[in-house]
Amino acid sequence: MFERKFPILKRKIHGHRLAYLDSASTTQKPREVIDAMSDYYENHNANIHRGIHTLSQEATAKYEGVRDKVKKFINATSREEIIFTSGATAALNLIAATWGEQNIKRGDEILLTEMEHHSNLVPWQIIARKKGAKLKFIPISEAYSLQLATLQRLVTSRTKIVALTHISNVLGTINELSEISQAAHRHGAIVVADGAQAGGHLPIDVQKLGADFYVLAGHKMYGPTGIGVLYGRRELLEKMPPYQTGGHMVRSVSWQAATWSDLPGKFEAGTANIAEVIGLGAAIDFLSSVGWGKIARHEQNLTSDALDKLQKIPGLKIYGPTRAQNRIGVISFTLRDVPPHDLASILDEQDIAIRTGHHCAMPLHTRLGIESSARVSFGLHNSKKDIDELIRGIQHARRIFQL
Amino acid sequence: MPDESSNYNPIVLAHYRHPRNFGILENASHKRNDLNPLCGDEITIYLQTAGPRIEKMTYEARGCALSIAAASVLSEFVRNKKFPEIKNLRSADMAKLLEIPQTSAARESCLTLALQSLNKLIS
Repeated sequence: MFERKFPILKRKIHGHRLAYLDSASTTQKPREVIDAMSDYYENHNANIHRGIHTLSQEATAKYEGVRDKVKKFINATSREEIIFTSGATAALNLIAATWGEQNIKRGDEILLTEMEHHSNLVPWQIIARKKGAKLKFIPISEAYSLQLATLQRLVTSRTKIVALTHISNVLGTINELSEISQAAHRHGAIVVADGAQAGGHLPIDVQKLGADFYVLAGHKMYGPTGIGVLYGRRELLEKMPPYQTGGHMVRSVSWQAATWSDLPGKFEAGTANIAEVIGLGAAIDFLSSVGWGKIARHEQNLTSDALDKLQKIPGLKIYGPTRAQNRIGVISFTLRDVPPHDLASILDEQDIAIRTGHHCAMPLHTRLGIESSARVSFGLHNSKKDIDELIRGIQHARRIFQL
Repeated sequence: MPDESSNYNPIVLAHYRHPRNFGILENASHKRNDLNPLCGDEITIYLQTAGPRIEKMTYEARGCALSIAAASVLSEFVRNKKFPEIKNLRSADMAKLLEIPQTSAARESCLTLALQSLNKLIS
């Protein structure tokens, strides 16, 4: 539907039209995002927050303007709660290394889920080991959703943090974040939500979701790489020590000591990724211009069509909800007798781009009893034509493997 | 669409379906496990050697068809070869053994996982 908005889709790969089914890895970029970044470099490039000169003021206004857009995008209470980071991974590491460092004690528990991406697992492993805390995991059910009945047992007075993905990057499952937040808050735990896979797919309201921290990855929501968002409740951010130190994050510095800037500057040391922030702003404008209603209908149609057609292929097993409800268009599967890597390779020869491997979720794959899976994921530029090509491509792979 | 693909000829498929010399080698003089962290492919190589000569190579592996087939043809090729003859093998030689064209950079690690593991084992 929006194919023409994405310049890269004009490219022919191996001489043919590209079916890009890997938006969960990174989305393609609409013209507006690319233009906004070029415009910044061509017309407004200057360092921000420091200059008296016109360019610096223009750049600062554009940069800070995006903070307001993000605040509105996720319904934060104030703009100071929006911290720009280099990505979702950096944001999660920041939380673990600052809030975690300050608050986690020996014997505390950190509750995660079995469907976490490594970026919302490894930082917690490190802080848990350092502090002598324990990691626990909310299990997934046969239907590939979290077993919420286990919350009663798993969330206790020892639980300091519940850190979970809003949407699984493997299963596509949308988690019941508000219900989990309520359970966590009843026991005084804070909630860290990894929204890397949610941004750009559904409206996010951090207050309704009850997330104390929420992180976004710009490049998975039609924005550029190198930009992420850390949302944190002001009260928490104010008490946290800085993560990186240096320029911009200080109020005053003497030879022996320094004091920190107010929010959000305290967490934005060094020269920011200015062009990337501006690109993220353009991505948010792009999403608003399309509108959530249209985005949801488009993605649900594609997901439902793909689930129907994939399930008819003999030997194809989907890991994730098999109906289009409570999930997004991220579909992982295996094909009997055709290893995922070979399938992706054969599809690539037909100009169909999918992802294979463990999708940075090795423990989840172990839990599912597989080493790797193939994954297709949809964006606004996809159409049913892409799905038909995918299905033809999979059939072709089966024939090559003489199935 | 023709049912063919440059990387999946009958040789690759035959070795993938029926990998030669697959399994544990009792009384192996050398053993090594390697993992490709990018895709999760894993191989354990077992060797029986006589001086600087390989008498037998076996392996246990899980992974894509290309990596299994490559391990299989390699295990046949190295039998009774001396270490220096193996050290010069490159991905192009693996492609030749499987009779496939020079593969893309993305598949090079599939083609050479067993070879690299073997080289580490004998060096």
